[in-house]
Amino acid sequence: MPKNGGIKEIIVTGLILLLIAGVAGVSLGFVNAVTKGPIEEQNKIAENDAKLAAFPQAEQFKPVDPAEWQPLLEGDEKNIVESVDTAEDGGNVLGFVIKTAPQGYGGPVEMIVGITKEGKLTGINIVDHSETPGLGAKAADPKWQGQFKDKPAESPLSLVKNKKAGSGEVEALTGATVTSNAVTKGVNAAIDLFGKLK
Amino acid sequence: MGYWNDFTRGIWRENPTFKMVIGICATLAVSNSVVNGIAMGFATTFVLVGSCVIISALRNFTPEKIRMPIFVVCIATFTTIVSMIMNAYLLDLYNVMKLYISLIVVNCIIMARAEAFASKNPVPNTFFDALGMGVGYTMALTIISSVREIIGNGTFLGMQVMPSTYQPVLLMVLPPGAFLTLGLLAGLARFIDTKAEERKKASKEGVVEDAGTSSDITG
Repeated sequence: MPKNGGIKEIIVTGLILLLIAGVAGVSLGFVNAVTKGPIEEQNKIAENDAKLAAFPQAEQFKPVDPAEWQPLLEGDEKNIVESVDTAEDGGNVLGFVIKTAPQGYGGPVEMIVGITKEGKLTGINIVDHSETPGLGAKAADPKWQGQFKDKPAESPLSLVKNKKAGSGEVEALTGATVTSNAVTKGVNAAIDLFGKLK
Repeated sequence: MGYWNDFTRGIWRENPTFKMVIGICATLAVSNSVVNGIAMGFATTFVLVGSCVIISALRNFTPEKIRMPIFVVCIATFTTIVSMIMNAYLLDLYNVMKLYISLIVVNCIIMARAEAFASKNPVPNTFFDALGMGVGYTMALTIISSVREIIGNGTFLGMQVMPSTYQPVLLMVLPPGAFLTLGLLAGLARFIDTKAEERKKASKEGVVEDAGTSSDITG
């Protein structure tokens, strides 16, 4: 490339850049076209698996029309509840899976809460979070999440520290009160909505 | 200069993390657990090798004045392709790494190798240089994250390694721990180099070093 080629140099370098960017664009478009289908499928499978983890007895999940549940939300819950599905087993409605995303310590804690129509929690599944590793991130451990299983979904659960949790209570994580509060809040929003839905 | 020389450059002599101190943002952010560290190392290596080879192949058509935009286009394209393919076919791995994959675009190790090596050397040499840099980066991340995870959480790769009475030093998994670990390890690397140099000099001059002094290298 000459040092001072004037207008010709500008055009040539411009064209080379255009060519390289064009090749990059075409290859991105090609990869996108190839991977689009599988990505969508993967997302669907992942979502179904996540719901299944919160509601293991169900066979399929059907989304509930937002017009049915959105007006039932009050105050803070509007920002927390993201979606509601019915959990079904060959046509019988077994209960609901409700996705909530309360604010944790490092960002929203996305989770799925499963509740049977008899009013019992089938479990929760924390799907995504950005809590501190070693502290709040322990909320995603099956051991801690497991304590929500079989809790009654009649009234809001309360958080207890340094003692055994009773029927309507959950034990907080050591050193992660904010995260424990957030998860409990998300579960309680789901319980509250469930009470109005059934 | 053989390929082996290109390969080992990044592992110790010009280790990107401990010697060149580049790509520190990502290093500080992801080294809080060993899984994250290793995953980030592999993803970066992959993008580093891919984009450096392409940049090296294009080096004769790349005008001097617009090399930077061309590097950026290559790196960004490669990162996006990797992320899309992983999302489509390796979902489990993608879920662990999705946060860090987008960080790779701005990792200056890749830019530095593109500028300093790939744009001036043939494809095979570039391949080994990039691979060595990637391995060196992965090793550095593994070491830093091991120290942080073991001291800060009492675990290694999620397994409990410290006795259950051990009280984890939380500071180490929080951001300050990253600075402490990186600083001390970079210092240690330099210390080892200085000692090695001294030894070399001494042996050249014919001075036999006392065996006792060599053992404090590990201290």
